[in-house]
Amino acid sequence: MAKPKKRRKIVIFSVIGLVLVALTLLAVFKKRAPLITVQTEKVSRHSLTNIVVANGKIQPVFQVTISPEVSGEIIDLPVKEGQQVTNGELLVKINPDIYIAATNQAMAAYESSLAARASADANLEKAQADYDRNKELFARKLLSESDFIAFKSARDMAKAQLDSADDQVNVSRANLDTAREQLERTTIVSPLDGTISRLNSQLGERVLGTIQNAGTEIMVISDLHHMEARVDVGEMDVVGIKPGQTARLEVDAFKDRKFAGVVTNVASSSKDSNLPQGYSSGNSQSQEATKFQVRIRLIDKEDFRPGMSVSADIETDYRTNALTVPLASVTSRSVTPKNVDPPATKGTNHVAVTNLAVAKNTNVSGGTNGSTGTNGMLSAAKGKEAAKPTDVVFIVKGDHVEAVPVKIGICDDNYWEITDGLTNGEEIVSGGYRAISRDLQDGSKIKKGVATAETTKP
Amino acid sequence: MDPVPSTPEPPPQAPPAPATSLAGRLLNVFAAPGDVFSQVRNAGVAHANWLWPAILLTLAGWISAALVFSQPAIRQQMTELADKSIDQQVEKGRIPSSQAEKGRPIAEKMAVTMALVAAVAGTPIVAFVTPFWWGLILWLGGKVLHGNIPFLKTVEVAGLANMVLVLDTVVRTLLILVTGNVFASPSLALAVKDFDPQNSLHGLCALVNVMVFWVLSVRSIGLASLGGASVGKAASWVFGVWIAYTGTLFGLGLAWRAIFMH
Repeated sequence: MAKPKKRRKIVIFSVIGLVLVALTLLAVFKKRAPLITVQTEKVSRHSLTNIVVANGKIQPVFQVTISPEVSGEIIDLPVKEGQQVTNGELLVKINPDIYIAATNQAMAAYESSLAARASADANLEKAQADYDRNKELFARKLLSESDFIAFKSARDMAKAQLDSADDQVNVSRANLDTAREQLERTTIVSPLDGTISRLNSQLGERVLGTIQNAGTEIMVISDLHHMEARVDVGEMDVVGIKPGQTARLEVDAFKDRKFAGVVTNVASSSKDSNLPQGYSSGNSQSQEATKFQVRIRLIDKEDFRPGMSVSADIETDYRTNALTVPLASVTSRSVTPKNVDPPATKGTNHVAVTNLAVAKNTNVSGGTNGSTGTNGMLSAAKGKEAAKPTDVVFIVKGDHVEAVPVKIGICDDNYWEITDGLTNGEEIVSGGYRAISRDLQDGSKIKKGVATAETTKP
Repeated sequence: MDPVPSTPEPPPQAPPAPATSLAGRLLNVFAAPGDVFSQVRNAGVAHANWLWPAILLTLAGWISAALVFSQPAIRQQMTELADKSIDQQVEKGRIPSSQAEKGRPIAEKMAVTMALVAAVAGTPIVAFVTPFWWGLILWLGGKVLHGNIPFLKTVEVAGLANMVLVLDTVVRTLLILVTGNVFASPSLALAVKDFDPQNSLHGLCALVNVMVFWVLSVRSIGLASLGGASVGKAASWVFGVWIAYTGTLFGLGLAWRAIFMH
């Protein structure tokens, strides 16, 4: 009776032992690398349009700010904001009283100078006659030399006085002209056909002239028939923008409509490049990216108003039937250049022993994070070639991926152009975002999964 | 006078089996639980019968947690689960996308930490509570089966049966290390590809667990030994109670998901 029980115990314990040993051996020798869930797509061909997106405002192409040249009170303002005006139409009348008085004063001074000239002329005539008469007497030795010199001097003085009077007449005439000019400038007329887009001053207001001051901006007249979008483009994108390129514009006030435009001008200097050297436009926390203004003429007509917000998609480049991958597929990894020979050192844990060694993200100088495999390879490399970040795409090879450096061209909202590194139809990893940007390395094991909100995030 | 016939002498009785040591009891519960529980029934109260399995179960749980959560594949799986949970919250509109992105790195780091803390803190609680919980169930079973079993005896039986849970912990740990899946267990879940803990069917497969059935069987044998009832009746009680409360918890889980997740 005891023997069957003993035999049963032996069998049961043997089975348990065998199972445990088998599982232990499997656990020890079968390494389970992390399986990263990814989504895949095939490299395909698409037509791409490289677009630079910029925001700005709509402004008239032709716009004039009306400021008075003379100061005074506005006594007549026959226009109002939004009114259409024509070239030469009266806009503003400034009180001319003081300028009329100045003109009269100048006129009086001018006439006085004319009278003084006439007097000087008469004196010269008399002095000349006296000189001629006494010269004859001096020649016949009937006049002393001193007396002759006195008559000569008197004639010279009269001549000088006449010259002075002539100059004074010129000065007076110039002052009169100036006074008349200023009087004329109290009446301001429109220099162009347009619309009064902004009226800053009111009847009775005192305005400053521009002669010695900045001048009061009384109004702005705009030609609303020709409008343009003035957008700000970053310095990285502005190099690709040239006059003549087409653009599609979206105006906030006219949603669901796109307007056509053409680039007419690209600024040569940035918006803050006019600041004096050493001047900071703000503290370090408020520094903005360098922007260049681009002007886009609106081809389509609409009831645009100056100052409307606009977003422009400027088409800077175009490719037909280019080899493309989804935007999310391209990421950056540090790779050692292909011409670096693997080191002779042994016992290092290489990430991948191929011509292309892909290290984990390290700093550009490489070899300082203590990682033995990477450091060993880099330190032994010829010419001190350091791992540098490069664009890579992960190609699916069965149950793992291979990081392949690629050269990228232009892109649109969905795809990157691939100019080197991939062939049409290759299966590549297109998601998730975290897997591509951080987790995946050359040789990582993967499993294909369903896209989620995070995995589809660009 | 006729000689008086002599009465036959009774056959010599077999000497009583010597009491098995504690180690012997802990091991024999796998192969001969009936013998072990017979000894328990006839012996005095021995708290070591439930205390040592609880200690061993706690140690096994801690070692298992340390091994499992040190594996890169398991840590990767935990962070993916945390990501998936956040994505579902965003899809349902419970949290804004911007807040989700801010919380994602924290959630990923906390996923492994929280699982480890739960394993470390939960294991001793389970180890020391289950002998009393199942002791109560077996004691009630004794009442139902018209037996009169002291409560501490049922605690000892439930404690000794927990040795199967120690083995279950070891086997489960090895399976997790082999498969790289934190949900691996000696159950039908092993046959499920891409186990999803939120899938009801997958959850049901995980309940069909060999080691769970084994420990329930051992408890049934213990109840039968203590109460003097048949193993069939004892098993009906033990398995019936397990199905009842497992089913209730499962149903409550489904109801919770239906109410709050959808």
